[in-house]
Amino acid sequence: MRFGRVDALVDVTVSISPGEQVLVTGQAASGKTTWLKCLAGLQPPTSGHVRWGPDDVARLDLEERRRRQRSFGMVFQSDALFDSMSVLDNVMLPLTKRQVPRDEAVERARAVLDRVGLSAAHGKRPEELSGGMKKRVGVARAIVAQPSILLADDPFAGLDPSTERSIAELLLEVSRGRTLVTALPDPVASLPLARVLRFEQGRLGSVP
Amino acid sequence: MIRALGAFGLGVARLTGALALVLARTTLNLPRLDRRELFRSIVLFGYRSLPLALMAATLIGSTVVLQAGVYAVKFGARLYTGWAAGYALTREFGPLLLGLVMAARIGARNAAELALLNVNGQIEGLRGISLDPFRILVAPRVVGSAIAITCLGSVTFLVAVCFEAVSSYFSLGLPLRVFFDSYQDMLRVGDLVGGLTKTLAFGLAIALVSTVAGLRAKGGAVGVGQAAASAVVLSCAAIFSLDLLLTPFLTRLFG
Repeated sequence: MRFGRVDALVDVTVSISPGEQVLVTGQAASGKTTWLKCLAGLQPPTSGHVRWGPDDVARLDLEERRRRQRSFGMVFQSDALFDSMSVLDNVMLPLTKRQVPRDEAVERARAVLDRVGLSAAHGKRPEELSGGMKKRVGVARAIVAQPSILLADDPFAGLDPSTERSIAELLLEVSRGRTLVTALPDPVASLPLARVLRFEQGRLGSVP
Repeated sequence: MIRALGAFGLGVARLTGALALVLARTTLNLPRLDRRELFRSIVLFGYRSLPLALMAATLIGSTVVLQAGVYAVKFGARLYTGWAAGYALTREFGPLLLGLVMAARIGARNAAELALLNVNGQIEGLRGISLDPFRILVAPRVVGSAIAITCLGSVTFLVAVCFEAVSSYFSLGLPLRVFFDSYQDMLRVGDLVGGLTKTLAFGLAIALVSTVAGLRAKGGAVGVGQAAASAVVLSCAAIFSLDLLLTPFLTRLFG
């Protein structure tokens, strides 16, 4: 995977089984985020293949790729919430834009917000929330469409240790029965995932 | 020197390609635009720009008459002020000046908002939850701002002509009825259609240019500022270029 003259990912071969829980570590600009984006089909690799099951993502037509991308939920480092919408509307977004009836979308979004501990924040705007609460909204939005794979890109960025622990517990709780791939700069004790990968300058390194 | 020229040429080619891509994707998404975002864009870019457009209309209308009136009196053509001022406003000054004002108001705002959504990751966020940001966020803004600018143009022309009449009354002593008679007798539908065509073209140019500027933004607050500035500068350049191309074309078409 190249960006101009920079090799972002080189010789990376990873296979992830359904239900597996993977932690991807590495310093800034080591290729974690690019790899996650490739995995979700958001970034086509300049060479090589990304396969979802037996299928090469590059060979899927746009509609089929979009349909299969619905199996992915993503939690972003920057929250990626819309301040112009309420928390409830932000969480409903993946449902309303897919023509899920509004009543059903409201019901599902409320249930997910209750699950992540934000029962009282439905009507608030993201800008009124703390960093940890925003992260919870991001998790709620990522799981509201019931994806089978949850990707989290540096979900603890900018959080204090206690909030970090609570978000880690939340991730572990909502990822039960799902594949979870989390990218972090370093392993953390609060998120003990079974498999750990380490990226070093775009290559897969050894895990100490 | 050659390297600089090459880089400039590449930049122009990239920009043209990006504009064509945004136009094509917007056209493809027309049947399934996000209605809520379209409505929001029309309100944000159109309704909220109305005070500025009306103020511009008042000043443009009055200034055109004050300037044209000097020559109208000098050449004994006071009675034709209504037609001359109306023609100048409808075919040239109205669309051009409104376009420039809206490039600063709507172009900068659209570019800054999209740039902020881009650098803060919201656009990528939509893709991350397998939604198409172009259909949900970008296309409705392009269409909304083009509609808003065209509607503002129509209202602005109407108000500006009224202020031309008032200004003629006070500065040249021309009765309102005489002003509007000359306007009605000599101004043709083609002149109005020509003016609105220019307004629509300028509106579309502002929408496309500002969208491209916003989507290409990188790197935090500096990137957002650069996107807004580029949107205004490139929109103005696009407006002047389109004016140069459209004026002879519309003159041939409508006389």
